[in-house]
Amino acid sequence: MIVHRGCAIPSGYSYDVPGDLWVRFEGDVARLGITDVAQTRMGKMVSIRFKRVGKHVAAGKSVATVESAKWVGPIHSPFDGEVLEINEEGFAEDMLIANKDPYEAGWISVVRPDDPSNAEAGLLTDDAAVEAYRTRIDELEISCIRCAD
Amino acid sequence: MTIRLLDFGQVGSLRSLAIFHGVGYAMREDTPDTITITRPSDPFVSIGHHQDARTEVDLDYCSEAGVPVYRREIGGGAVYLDEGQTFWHTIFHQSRVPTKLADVYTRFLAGPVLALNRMGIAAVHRPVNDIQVGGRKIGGTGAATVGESMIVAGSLMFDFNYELMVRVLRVPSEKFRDKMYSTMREYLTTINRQLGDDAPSREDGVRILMECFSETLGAELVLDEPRPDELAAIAEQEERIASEDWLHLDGLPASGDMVKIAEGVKVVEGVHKAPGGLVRATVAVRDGVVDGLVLSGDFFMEPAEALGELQDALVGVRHEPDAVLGIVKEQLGDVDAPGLDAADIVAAVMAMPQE
Repeated sequence: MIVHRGCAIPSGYSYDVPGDLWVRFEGDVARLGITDVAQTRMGKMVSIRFKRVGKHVAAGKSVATVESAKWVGPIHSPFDGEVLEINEEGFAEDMLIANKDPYEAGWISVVRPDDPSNAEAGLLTDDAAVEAYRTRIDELEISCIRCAD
Repeated sequence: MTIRLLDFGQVGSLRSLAIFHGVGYAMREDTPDTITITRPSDPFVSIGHHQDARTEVDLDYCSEAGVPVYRREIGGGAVYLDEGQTFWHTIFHQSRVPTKLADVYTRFLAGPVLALNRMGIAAVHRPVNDIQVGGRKIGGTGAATVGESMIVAGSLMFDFNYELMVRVLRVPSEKFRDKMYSTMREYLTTINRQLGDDAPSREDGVRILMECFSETLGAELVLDEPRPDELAAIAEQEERIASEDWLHLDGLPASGDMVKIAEGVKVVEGVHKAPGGLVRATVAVRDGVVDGLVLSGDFFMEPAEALGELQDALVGVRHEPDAVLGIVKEQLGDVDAPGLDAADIVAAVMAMPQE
């Protein structure tokens, strides 16, 4: 796990760096969530609306929209695919779950990519991901803050 | 540096919403940063992006009264709007706005605050996104990422229909509605209320606002016309915003494209006799969290805006004694409220039985 300016960049994930999104491939499906940078930038979440299970989502279209105290915005899927699971239960139990634990308990959706062989295109992993994210964090001049439990 | 100004003037209510959504969605990195101006010709209700229309708005009343209800892609609560407001939207590519949301608001609210000052209103930006005058809010603001753009929305609120605002909302009781009305009258003001006969005309108000945006953003505003692709995007947004599918985004439990986390609302009414007077609290609680709150009574509190700020601060807090106490203590720090301490407020808000 690399931590840069307080922002965690754990290994084992693929990253859409400009989209502040992480992807964890689990067999032929992918679990999506927001990064530490994303949760810091948006602030405490007050509401989330998920694309329903069974719906198809196109690359660049939203799997969810989130509302924080002073902002609304989408969370984009990096590839075409079908929504298989949504973290409805996690957010119902604790709306700040992604603010507290963005990489595990605060996951957003599980999507089955239409073309698994091409799903990683445009995503970065390992050293390339860390380097790109470090650069982004420096450019944004951001320091990450997590909500306390 | 220049910023493009699209002044659409007075347009239908649906179009007033579709314009900023459409211009936002049509924005690309090479699109010039843009400010749009619109004024609705007919009244409507605008609900927040994540609100449930049936829960928040008296849809039957709106239907009978011929007031359309539309969902916007900006957060916040339901609001009744009409030609008393002139809307401004700063629509900038997201690569050209500050990283931190607080800085986004600081940058884009400087113009509207300066404009109100020039009109003779001592408005200030109260972070994160309030514009206040003497402790009262004067209009609302919000922000959203729409396509590649970051939109900050606000209005020059010349006038506001408080009666219809509280009428169109679904509230737990008529008593709650009455209290909401008086609270709103007290803590929300308008340009006309502040300036009376000295209020500028709509045209002059917009002109002043544009001068102030230009000064505070350090850029010349250049009047322009929407491009064909923007007009097409606006037309597309009109169709979407007018649709029942978009209004009832969550649909019925087994239908719709999206599912939202929300629970029912319960109302708690508490009365507590403190040495300094009676404290009444009417609290709407959603999913264990304070969703709305009205405090009233015959106690004294100075400065006058402290009560409104306390109410605002309690929204979003867990409806539990410790959580409420923490916020009340924080808010009452420098407030003069003889015979009233934090525990008295907590007792009313939690509707604790009194011996």
